[in-house]
Amino acid sequence: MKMPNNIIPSKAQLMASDRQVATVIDLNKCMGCQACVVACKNLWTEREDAHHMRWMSVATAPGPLYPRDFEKKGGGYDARGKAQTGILPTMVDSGDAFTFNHQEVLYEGNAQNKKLEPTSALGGKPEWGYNWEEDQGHGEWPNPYYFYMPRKCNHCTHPACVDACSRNAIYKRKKDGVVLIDQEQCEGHRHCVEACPYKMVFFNPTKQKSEKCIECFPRLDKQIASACNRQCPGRTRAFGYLDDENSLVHQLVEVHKVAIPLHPEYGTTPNVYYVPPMSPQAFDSANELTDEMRIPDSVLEGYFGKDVHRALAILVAEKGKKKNGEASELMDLLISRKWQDRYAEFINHPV
Amino acid sequence: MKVLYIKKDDNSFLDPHNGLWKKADSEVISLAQTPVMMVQHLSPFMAESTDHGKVSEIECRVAHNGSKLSIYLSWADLTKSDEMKDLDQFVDGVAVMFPFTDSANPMTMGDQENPVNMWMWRADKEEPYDVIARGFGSSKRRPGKEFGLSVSSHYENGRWYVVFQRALRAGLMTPSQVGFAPNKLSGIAFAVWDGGNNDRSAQKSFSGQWEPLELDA
Repeated sequence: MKMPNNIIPSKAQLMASDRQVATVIDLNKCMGCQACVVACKNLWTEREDAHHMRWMSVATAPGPLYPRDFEKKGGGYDARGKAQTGILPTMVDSGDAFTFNHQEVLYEGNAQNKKLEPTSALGGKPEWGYNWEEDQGHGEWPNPYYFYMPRKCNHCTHPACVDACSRNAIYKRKKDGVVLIDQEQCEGHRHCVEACPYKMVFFNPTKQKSEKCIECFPRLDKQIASACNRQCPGRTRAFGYLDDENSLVHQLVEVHKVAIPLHPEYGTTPNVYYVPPMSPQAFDSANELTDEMRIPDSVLEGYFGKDVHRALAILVAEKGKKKNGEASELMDLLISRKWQDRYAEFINHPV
Repeated sequence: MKVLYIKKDDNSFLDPHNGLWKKADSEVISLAQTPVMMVQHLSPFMAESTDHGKVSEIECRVAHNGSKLSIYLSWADLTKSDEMKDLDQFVDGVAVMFPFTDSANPMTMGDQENPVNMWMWRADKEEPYDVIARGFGSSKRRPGKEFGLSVSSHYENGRWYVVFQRALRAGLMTPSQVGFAPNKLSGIAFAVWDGGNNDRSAQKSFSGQWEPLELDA
């Protein structure tokens, strides 16, 4: 049988890029303020047909995170590189898009007898929503714990979404590896949504096309850092080319090796890296402080794999140096006294 | 399949319950699950699908009135899916495909040298699509109205009834459409999507071969 492929680019061509941009997020400093989420929403998804999409999200971990239970929805690859089937998040899984009775309560004289109530985009009382478990801790007293998990598209080196699209509508930008969906080519079949193990592709039911984080590429083209990275007031973010030896992302990922990907076992080689959380010391049964960390090893390993132990050991040792009045290049990098130090060449202002 | 000449106005054909359809030859075409392993190079994820394409047959009648060709289709689908109520839902649909050349392969939706033309209806859309393809993954949907394509649809007692209608001759301004002429043999192939079964894209039921289509003068 004649198999036509002369007009169809190969997956390898679609996935190829000359360089790769990466984001590092320091979970020791993320305070769950949602400034990154709002920055993203204002720029890209403040639209009637996209209210349910959070290309950037921050959820409390451990928990179902966002989209809800994405870790149970399949996709990605197994250890031998075989594609894994996935299931689609619903509107509720995607955090819903509540509307409120503002008009009734605030403008029709009902402020004293009616409450502001959310209504689900599917109608009725919400069942779940974005950031539903905010600040819900885990563990037993006196050792409760939680941390924030900021997430966006990983612009993977081997993106399952690119692999999955039967129309070859998804590709990596040649110059920086940003993963984009060609909105002309997309027909909304959602194979990409099923295939992305991070569930960072979102379906637009009005346009009947899939959408995702574009890493603010029009800003990158003007050497302005992506909005979520730039707007972080906690200086948790670093952004730049992974191969730029002077960039903070390179220093943290490649040199100091303290920034590691989420769920590396999904097999897509993600390019958002996390500095794992050093938790407070735990109390023992006599209420004495121990050297144990409160966040169980198994929890951190579940998110970041075994590398998390090595990364944490380095962080603890370097923090110890500072505590003893010694110098620590790593701690100075993580502190970064000037914001410009975090974004390599992407330090232009957005206006 | 014989395409009878029936002297009726265009609109009569668009009514699937119109008695004229009883005069047209009826043929029941067997459908099968698409072999998605064939598109593994386009989507290794789709190639893992095992439960798509459960619609096993489609009834087809074709007639013309000298100016328009009308295609009546009917198939069983117990789950009417005519809107996406949630982000994980898909809709029902049907398509007929015609070759531009004698060598076009219906299994692959043609190839670069042998394109195919399709008429596609989706249960959530008023307007049909005119689709052109040159092999897997290359289909281009175009608004059916611009190509003179009309469609009517009706769901009753667990069955869909869809009638496509278009001028026999391809429009002068639209050379990328198939044309039909009396005594000229053409072919037709079929695809059905069951939205309730998450069918979409290549995950569908299909006939996989050309049924001959012969127009009465």
